[in-house]
Amino acid sequence: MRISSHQIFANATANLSRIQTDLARTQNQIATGDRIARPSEDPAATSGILRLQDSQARLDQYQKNSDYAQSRLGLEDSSLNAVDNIMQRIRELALQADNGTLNASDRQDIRAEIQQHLDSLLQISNTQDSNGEYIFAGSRGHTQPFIANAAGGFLYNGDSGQRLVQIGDGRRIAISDPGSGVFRDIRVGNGTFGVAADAANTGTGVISNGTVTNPAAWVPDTYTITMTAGTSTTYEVRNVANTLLSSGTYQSGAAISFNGIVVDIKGVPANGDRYTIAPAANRDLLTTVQNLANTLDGKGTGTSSTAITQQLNIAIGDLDQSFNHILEKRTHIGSRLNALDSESNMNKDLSLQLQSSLSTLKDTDFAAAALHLNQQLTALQAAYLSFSQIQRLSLFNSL
Amino acid sequence: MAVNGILSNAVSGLLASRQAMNTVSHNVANVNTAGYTRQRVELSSRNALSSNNLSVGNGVFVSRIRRIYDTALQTQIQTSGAAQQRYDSLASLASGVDNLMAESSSGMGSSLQSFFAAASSVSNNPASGTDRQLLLDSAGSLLNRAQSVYSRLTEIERGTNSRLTTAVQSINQLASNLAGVNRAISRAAASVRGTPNDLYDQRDQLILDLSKKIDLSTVLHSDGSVNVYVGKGESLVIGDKTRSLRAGKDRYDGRRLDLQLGDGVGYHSISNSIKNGEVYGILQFRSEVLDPALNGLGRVVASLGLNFNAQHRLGQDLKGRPGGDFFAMGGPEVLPKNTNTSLATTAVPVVGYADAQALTTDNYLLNWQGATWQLMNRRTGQIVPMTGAGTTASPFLADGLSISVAGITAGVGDQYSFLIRPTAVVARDTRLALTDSAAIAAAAPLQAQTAAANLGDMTVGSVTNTTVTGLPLGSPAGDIVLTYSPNALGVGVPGFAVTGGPGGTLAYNPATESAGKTLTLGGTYSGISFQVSGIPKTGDTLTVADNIGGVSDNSNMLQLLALSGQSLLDGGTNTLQAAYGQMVATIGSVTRQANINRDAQQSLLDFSVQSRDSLSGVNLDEEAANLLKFQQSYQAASRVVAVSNSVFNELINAVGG
Repeated sequence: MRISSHQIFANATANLSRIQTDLARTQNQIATGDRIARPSEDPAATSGILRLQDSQARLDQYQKNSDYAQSRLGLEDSSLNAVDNIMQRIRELALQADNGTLNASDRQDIRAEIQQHLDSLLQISNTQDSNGEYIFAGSRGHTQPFIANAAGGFLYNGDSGQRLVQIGDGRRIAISDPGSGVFRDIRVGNGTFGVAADAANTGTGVISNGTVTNPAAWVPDTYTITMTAGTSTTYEVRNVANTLLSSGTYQSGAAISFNGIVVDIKGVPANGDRYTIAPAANRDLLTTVQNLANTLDGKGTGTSSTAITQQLNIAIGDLDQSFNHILEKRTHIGSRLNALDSESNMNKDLSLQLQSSLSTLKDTDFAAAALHLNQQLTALQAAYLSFSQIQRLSLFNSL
Repeated sequence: MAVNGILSNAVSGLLASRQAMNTVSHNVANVNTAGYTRQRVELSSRNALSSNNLSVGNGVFVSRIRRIYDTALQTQIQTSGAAQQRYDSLASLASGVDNLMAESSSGMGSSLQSFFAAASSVSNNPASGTDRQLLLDSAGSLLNRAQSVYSRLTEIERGTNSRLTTAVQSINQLASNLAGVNRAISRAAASVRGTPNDLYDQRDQLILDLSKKIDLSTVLHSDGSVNVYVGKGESLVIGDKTRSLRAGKDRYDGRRLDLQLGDGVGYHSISNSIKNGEVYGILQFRSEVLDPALNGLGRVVASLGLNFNAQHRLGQDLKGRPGGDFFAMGGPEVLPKNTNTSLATTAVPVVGYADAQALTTDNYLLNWQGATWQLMNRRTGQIVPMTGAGTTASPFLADGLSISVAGITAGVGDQYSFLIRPTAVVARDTRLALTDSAAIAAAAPLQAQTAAANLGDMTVGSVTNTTVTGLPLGSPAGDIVLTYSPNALGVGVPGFAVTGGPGGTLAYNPATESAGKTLTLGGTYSGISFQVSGIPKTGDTLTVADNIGGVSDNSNMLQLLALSGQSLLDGGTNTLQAAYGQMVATIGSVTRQANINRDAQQSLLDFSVQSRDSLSGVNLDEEAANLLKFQQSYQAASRVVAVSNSVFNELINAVGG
């Protein structure tokens, strides 16, 4: 083929420029570590990278939310742990007070300590987080949830809002519990029914908190046990409609059972002494403790030692219920923390997978790039050399 | 035989060799001239003289100076040169957008991620002023990012104008040069014997240069002059006359220049009929890269803004006020054609968004057909069916747009046409509507709680609302109380009796539904729902009330956050991020395709140029050899003159001796 002189130069410059362009691209890949400098170099991979980066960002956010949830639940749990400890101490004090040898001033001492603990409990139930939000106020984070009222009880001013955070695709977890659920709505008594001795009782009989033996047979109603003393003392159990449900000869500590429940009465009831059994109501933990303190202060129903023993008995039952309730809440928190852990581990695994897919799409294969660079350098050198040899040739040189 | 004859032959040889060497030097001189075609001297022997019945040779003459030339190769170069230029201008403009999308700092992807991350923080800490302010800040920087991408795209758009202007200037220059060459060729044809080779070279080179700029066809005349037609056969150069092209304002969009050809009375647009060359590359870039990029960017902003606003308005802010707009949204751009019957600003349709999911990245033309309005997709040329009457109350609905033409009185014979760019300027026009971080509506306006005295273990979740009709309820008087009874809906049919609000009853069976059932209120309150679970006891109640003091409630922010994962675009198939990614990939792939096509056309062009150069190009070695050859024949002829001189002297001496 005939070659024009212009072609020799044009070809050489075109080839040099092409090799230099390739070389620059390889160099850029190596220098930045990115295989793709602009979307047009690999549009499909670009859209994949954007999608993976989006998923990655979402996972990172879930991880952050998990960490946040963990710290929030941790704060709640440690608050409840403190409640736990205080409740144990109060229960000990209540048991200590339930001793016939103590006089009123001994009980005042115990009451004073319980009052201290009540203040601590009030403080804990009004715990604020680092932003000053009350953590047990439901959604009303700027409203103090628990306040003593004039009647000697406590008011809940929060609501039942629960804050959720997103910790996975379609997976949300509660990071707070409203004070209404934690401290307020606690079923007292034995969880099913509560007992009481009539204030007018004159005997020394003390009714136990009782147990449920057959929940299916339990009929919620208010029942009255009436004692009739004679040569031998007998009892009758009647409901509100005055239907006789059970009767028999009284024996101290012997079981009195009807409608699937069992109670017993210890001591010597007087003629006409009455005891009532009613469905358990809800009471907040603070009021329960306040009631205990009131009893020790002699402000309960009756100040005889029997009346005080009876009230302490009931108070200990109420405390046990509250204690169990808090324990149950802590179990819930524990299981949420577990769920967080497993979700967080799953997110981390997924994140690793994403990273490796992303790296495949996005990162320079250094071995291959280095090889390319070498090939391109060799080609460029060869092009320089051959051009400088060829361009020297001309017949005019020989004329 | 006459001495005379010897001299005459020798002189003819001298002249021919001189002429040949002259041509060689012309070739050597033009070795680097673009479009130069090498020339070759063709020699013929002169007609013989008859002498004594013998035919005696009479020397040599230059019969012609030939251009070594192949029309087919020239046409090939013209074709692939035009296509190469078309893809080159498309690729170089598109790579600007491509680069813009590639930079992670300028891309929208990371801004969207930061925005939703900030929303997550507010969701985690709804009462925190710092986190709220951060959300406003990151929303602001999301909009800034969108605005800056928009303004860089408009810079690139202005770039297309200046490219078009430059291209038009050089087309006009080339056309007038060609007209001049045509004139010279015609004149030469009339006066000079032989062909004006160098004028032909100039002519061919001008046509080549012109064809790189614009789609053209040529008609060659017998005298060697050429007529040039552009687009659909409209003349640009006829003989020594030209028509002028200009880059004039687009009929719809004054910010864009359009290719217009002078027709004696004015100028008319020929953009649509140009299908090759640099000019087509520029026009193609606008319709295939720039418009989709502008609309695609705007569509992400529009969809985010419209959906975010809609959910935000359902919520309640930190101070208990109902949520307002979070973003002050920009809208569609409507541009009237400059030939419309009335150009009054009132004679423009009112276009808004009806359904963000159905928005496309295409532009539309709304045309008055004499009796009816017609909507056409400008990219595909398809007619888009519209529903509705076009009035304010019942606007036309099509592709996510609502169009009201109530303000335009169009009659038979009226001309009305409007260009609708659905989301092209949304990124430019959208602002933050909120300045006070407390006005972020993170909370839901309603909340539900179970009563303290409840004896069952019923729980109730947060309350969602799809409208704000009937809100606020006016707590506590307006509270809606649900009381459980095993016989609420008739004997043995458990559920709730509803007091306040819509009243009536709601079925709930604890035996089968205690794992959770979503209850929805009736009547005016049908947008309100909440999830109930657990086993209530007879008489247990739950209350739906206004969310008073609910500063820690994040229910609405959780709903807002969920938008990031929802398929909000393309009829519910793409998330915001996916739609943005798709747009980047589409631009990438148009750019890549343009690069590939340009490279393919480049190698075709290279091949054609190689073929032409190997035929028509000057080779210095060859010219050197030719030079030697003709030098030798010149020397030989000179020697013959000298010999004839000495023969003549001999004769004179003999005579004189």
